[in-house]
Amino acid sequence: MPGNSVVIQEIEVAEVAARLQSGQRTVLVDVRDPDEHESGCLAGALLLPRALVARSIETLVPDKDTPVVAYCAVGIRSAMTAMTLMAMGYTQVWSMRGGFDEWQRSGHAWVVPSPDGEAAPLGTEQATRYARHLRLPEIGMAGQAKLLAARVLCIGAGGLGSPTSLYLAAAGIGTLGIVDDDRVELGNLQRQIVHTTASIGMPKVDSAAGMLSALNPDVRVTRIRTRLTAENALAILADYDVIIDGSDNFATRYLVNDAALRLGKPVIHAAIQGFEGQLTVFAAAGAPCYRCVFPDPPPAEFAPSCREAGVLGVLPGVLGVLQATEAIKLILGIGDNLVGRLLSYDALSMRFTELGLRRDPECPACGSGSGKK
Amino acid sequence: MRVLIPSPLLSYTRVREVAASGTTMAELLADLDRQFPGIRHRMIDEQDQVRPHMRIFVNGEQSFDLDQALASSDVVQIIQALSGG
Ligand SMILES: [Zn+2]
Repeated sequence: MPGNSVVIQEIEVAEVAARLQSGQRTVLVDVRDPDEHESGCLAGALLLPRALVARSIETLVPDKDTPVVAYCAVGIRSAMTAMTLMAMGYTQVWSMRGGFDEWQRSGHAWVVPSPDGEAAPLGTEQATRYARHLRLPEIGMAGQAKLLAARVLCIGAGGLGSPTSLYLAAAGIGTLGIVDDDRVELGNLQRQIVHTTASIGMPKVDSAAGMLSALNPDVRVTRIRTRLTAENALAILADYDVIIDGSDNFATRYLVNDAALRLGKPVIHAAIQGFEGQLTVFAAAGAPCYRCVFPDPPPAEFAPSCREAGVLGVLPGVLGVLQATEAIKLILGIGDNLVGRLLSYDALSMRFTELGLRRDPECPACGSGSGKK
Repeated sequence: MRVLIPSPLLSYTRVREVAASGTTMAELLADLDRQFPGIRHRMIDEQDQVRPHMRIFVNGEQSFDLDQALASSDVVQIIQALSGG
């Protein structure tokens, strides 16, 4: 830069990593915007967007001989920041070449700052595993950290629970609880894809746990080999943030609804028969619940099970993957969810229809009728 | 008008979508029962109430009232609670 007395010193990411590892005093200054910083940064970096540098650096780093490494996304904003700092009299200033993008590409560890100022670390293997999530502005580091911290309970490891739990495990849901008391049968395998022919005869929770852990060792799978009952439902659901109802009978569906309402937990509901599926989200407070929509189950003669009525094998795949989608959105707090809307799917006509649900003010579970029962 | 039939009632209609007519919900249900004898009883109880495991939607909005006026352009969808998973 002829005519300019300030020469920017650049530093390679490997050299920065080495400085930090050896414990050499280094102040890291992240000059990106707050939303960039929040989606992932170097551990211990000060967030100081470029526009604020001149105003705030002397308060944050009063000693002008302190070694300072500035970084941005690719190394341009940090180069300009380095010039500003040198002009202000800082003697040891570097701009990190290639910025945070190069830091990530090189496989160095990084963290996501949490709202209370603590950082949740994401290892380099995780950064690679979830790279496609991290690319999405709606997820990023902060969102992936939420998924890794989330606790989701799948009621049933059958047709719906199979695809739901597989995709949730792949997405990095930190804790997956699976409730089921059945064993794997040959006739399940036409649709229950979390199990294999080799696991026939095994408890479904064991078979599912093996498959899910093999898919993603980050996931802690909690096996709950029992049938949900009025006695155990509250205790089982209480440990989880989101409940996924993939059960195969009405008694369990009403139990899940009532327990989740009492605990204030959202339920992602799906049910299937033949070529038809239904999906909705029951999320407590003010929205319709399962009993608002269907106050009573059909009499037994009008409600054949999948075993009796038959079901297209791929049908629970469609509905289960939609349940996983709604669960992930709820955890991340993004998009519009299906609260108050029932999605009805017909595989034969390949048609989705959306039906508006209404809260029943006299509902025995969530309305004025509660307590009467 | 178009009427969408739920899986558990396909034993009456064989097909998922049928045509039926009526200027009110009550008339529509009567016409359905003429075409598919017995189907009304599966949806409506002896007190003329929609059975608690059946729901009827007109153009995507829930309908509880058998006196509700209907137009030939309306789409009526019938839903039954399903338990399969
Ligand atoms: Zn309710």
